Amino acid sequence: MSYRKLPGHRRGLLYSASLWLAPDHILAVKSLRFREEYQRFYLRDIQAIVVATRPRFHLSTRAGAIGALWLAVLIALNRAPWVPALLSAAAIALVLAWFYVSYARSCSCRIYTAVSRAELPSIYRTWTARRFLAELEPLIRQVQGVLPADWAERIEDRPIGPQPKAAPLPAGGSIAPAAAPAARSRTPASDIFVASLLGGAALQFFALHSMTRFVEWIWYALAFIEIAGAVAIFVQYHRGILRVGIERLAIAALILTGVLYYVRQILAGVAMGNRTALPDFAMLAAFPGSLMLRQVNAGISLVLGLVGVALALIPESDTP
Amino acid sequence: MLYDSMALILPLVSLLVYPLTLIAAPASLVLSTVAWSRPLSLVRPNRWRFVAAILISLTEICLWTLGIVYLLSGRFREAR
Repeated sequence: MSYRKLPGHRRGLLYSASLWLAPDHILAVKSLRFREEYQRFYLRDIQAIVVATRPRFHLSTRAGAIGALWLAVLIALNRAPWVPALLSAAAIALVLAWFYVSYARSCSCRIYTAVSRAELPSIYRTWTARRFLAELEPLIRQVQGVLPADWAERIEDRPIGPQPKAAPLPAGGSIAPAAAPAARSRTPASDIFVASLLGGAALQFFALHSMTRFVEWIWYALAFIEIAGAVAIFVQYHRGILRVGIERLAIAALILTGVLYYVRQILAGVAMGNRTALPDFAMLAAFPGSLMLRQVNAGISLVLGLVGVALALIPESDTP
Repeated sequence: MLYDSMALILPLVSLLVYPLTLIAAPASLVLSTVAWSRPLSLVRPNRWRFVAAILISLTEICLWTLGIVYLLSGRFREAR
C-alpha cells in the first residue's frame, strides 16, 4: 500500500511524528529513532478532529540546525568587529520569533473515533492544522457524505469519542472513588526554579564585562538554587503534583548546567595549563572563549526562563 | 525495529569516539547484510539507508586497514 505524506512533521532528536494518507485511512506514525509505532484511522470512522490553540514550546531538529549554524558563524567570524552585534541581533530576533510562534501560533490536535481519542503530535502549528484540515475534509466528506445544514443543533446531544464506562459499584456499597487531583502547572518550587533561571540570565547579562568574585559567588548560589528547584520539580512531577512541561524544562536546564560546567572546566584547563583543580575566575574571565560562553549561557538561560514563565501562565485546563 | 536506521547511525555516531568505528563499522556491515530482507518502515519502503550504511562502513574499514598497514610497514622498515 502506498502512502502520501500529509502536512505536518514533528522532528525531535529522538522522537518524531508524522501523518500519512492511504486511499481509505490515515496512518499516524510515531518514530522513536529505531522503532516506529503505527495507528490507523479509517476515514469512515472519524467522528471529529479538534484543533485547540495553545502554547507549544517544541525545539525541532530544524531549530537545532539553525542554532548550530549560528554558533558555527560565531566561532568562524568571531574576530570581525561587526559580527557580535549582528549575531546578537539575529539571535534575539530568532528567539523572539520562536517564542511568538510557540506561544501565539501553536495548537494541539486530537482525532476522535467511536472507540478512540488520539493526539496528533505532528500538528502543532496553526498553519499546519489549516493545511491538514483543508486536505482531509474533502476526503472525509467523500466517504461520510455532507452534513445537513442544521448539523450544529443535531450534534449538540450526540457525544463524540469513546464513552466513559460506568464504574461497577462495590458489593454492598455505593461510594464513588475519589478523583485524583489534577496536576498543576506551577508550584512554589517551580516558581523558585524559574526565578533562578531568569536571575542567572540577568546576572550574566549585567556582569558580562565585570565579573568579580562576589558576582561569581552569587552565580554559584543561583546554580545551587536551580539544581535544588529541579530536584523538587522531579519529585513533584513523580507524585503527580506538577505537569510534564515544567519537568522537561528542568531536564533541559540541568543538561545546560552540566554541559557548561564541562566546557568551563576545559576552558580553565586551557587557560591555566592544568595548574590547579579549581579555576581562577579572573584568569578564566580574561580568556577569549569565556565571554562567548557566558553570552551563550545567559541567552539560553533567558530562553528557558521565558519558557518557564509561559508554562506557568498556561491555564491548567489547557495542558495535558 | 528499523534495522536500516540502526545500520546507518551506528558507523556515523561512532565517529564521535573514532576508535569505536573499529567495531561499529564491521557491525554495521554485518547488520546491513543480515537484515537486508527484513521488513522496512511502512511509509518509506526503500533501502537507501542500508546502501549508505554499507558504503560508510566499507570506507571506515578501508581507512582502518590502510592505517594499520601503514603503521606495520613503518615498524618493519625501522626494524631493518
